[in-house]
Amino acid sequence: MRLLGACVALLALVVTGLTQTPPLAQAPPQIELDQVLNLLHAMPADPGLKKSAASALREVVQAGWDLPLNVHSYLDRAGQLAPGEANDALRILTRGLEAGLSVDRLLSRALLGWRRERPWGEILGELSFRLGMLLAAQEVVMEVRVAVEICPATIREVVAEVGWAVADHIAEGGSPADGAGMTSRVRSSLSNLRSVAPCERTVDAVLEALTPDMVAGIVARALAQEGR
Amino acid sequence: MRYEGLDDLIREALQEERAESRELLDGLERAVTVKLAAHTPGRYWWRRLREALWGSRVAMRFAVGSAAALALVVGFLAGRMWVPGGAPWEEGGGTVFAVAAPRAESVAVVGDFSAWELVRLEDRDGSGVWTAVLELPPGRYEYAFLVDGRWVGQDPVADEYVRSFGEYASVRYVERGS
Repeated sequence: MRLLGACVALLALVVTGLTQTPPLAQAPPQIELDQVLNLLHAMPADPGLKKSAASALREVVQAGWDLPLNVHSYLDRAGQLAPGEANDALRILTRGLEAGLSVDRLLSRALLGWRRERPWGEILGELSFRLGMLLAAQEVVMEVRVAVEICPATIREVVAEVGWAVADHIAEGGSPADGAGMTSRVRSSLSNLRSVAPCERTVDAVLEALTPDMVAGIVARALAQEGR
Repeated sequence: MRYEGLDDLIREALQEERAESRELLDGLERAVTVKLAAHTPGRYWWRRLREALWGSRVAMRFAVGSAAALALVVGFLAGRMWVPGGAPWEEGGGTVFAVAAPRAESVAVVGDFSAWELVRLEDRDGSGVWTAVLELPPGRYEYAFLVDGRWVGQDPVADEYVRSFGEYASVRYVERGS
């Protein structure tokens, strides 16, 4: 009888341990290049654009980078767009990849737009604005040669952080002429990135070089690209 | 009185008594030797373990207490590792997403870590605090909660907030080794 009681108590404890533990969320499945290329092939888009996108994706893998985490979901959703819209979605992806940008944030922003059930025109506007800012940030940050030489992997993250922070400032109604305000925002974002990035010294080098003029230069280049 | 002075009958009785005692002592000696040999530590670790588990006597309350603690640990670990339909992230520590929504019927978190797909939160103890633990690698993550389908973009514990598509989203930086 005593043994039976002990067994029941132990079973209850195991069940308690099982049920009172917070569950772990599951990781997105690991996506292979072939899966992405198959999805790309099935898209209702211009064959030339699909070929360019496939080539850019292959180059990412050949260069030793991970595929963008959200690329499969992005192409899956883009495949449901009208043919002309799907072409725009591919142009954004290919332009970012060919420039060597870390495009995860861009793709994530598109997915956020779809989650918010925003029309494609609005999503495309957001992506174009952000892509322009990332390209401009890349040009300016790459001029900080010391940072680039220290750790090439982290510089992609730094570019993304700087471009994103400037874009956030403007998207939230901040003035593009407010160099001090934008610099403060970029500095805050880079300080957060410092604890996350694999190579802190790269972030430190950019933080050291950061000035309002540098940030104003990013905005100026982004506006110039938009004008083109 | 000396032994030689005793009566023959008494001497005989004493000799018998001594002979019987010797047999008893011999038996006791053998029993002690066997007992000691039985408790000599085995040469191999598994024999020692077996002897420790089956050979020693442990008070019932200690045995039950230890077994309960072990069962709780096993249950906790099993619960922690149990992931319906997928595998946990490979690296990084658990990041807790929590939101207080006492009267909510369903709460989820969406973010760039899940391609903005729903990750359900749970309120297991009925306290109104909904939680999920996500194993995220170091990085920057944008996210928001959906409480009964309503967008809640400003998490009080977020590092930053961003505004996009007319709504706020929270940003959290998951540090190395956190």
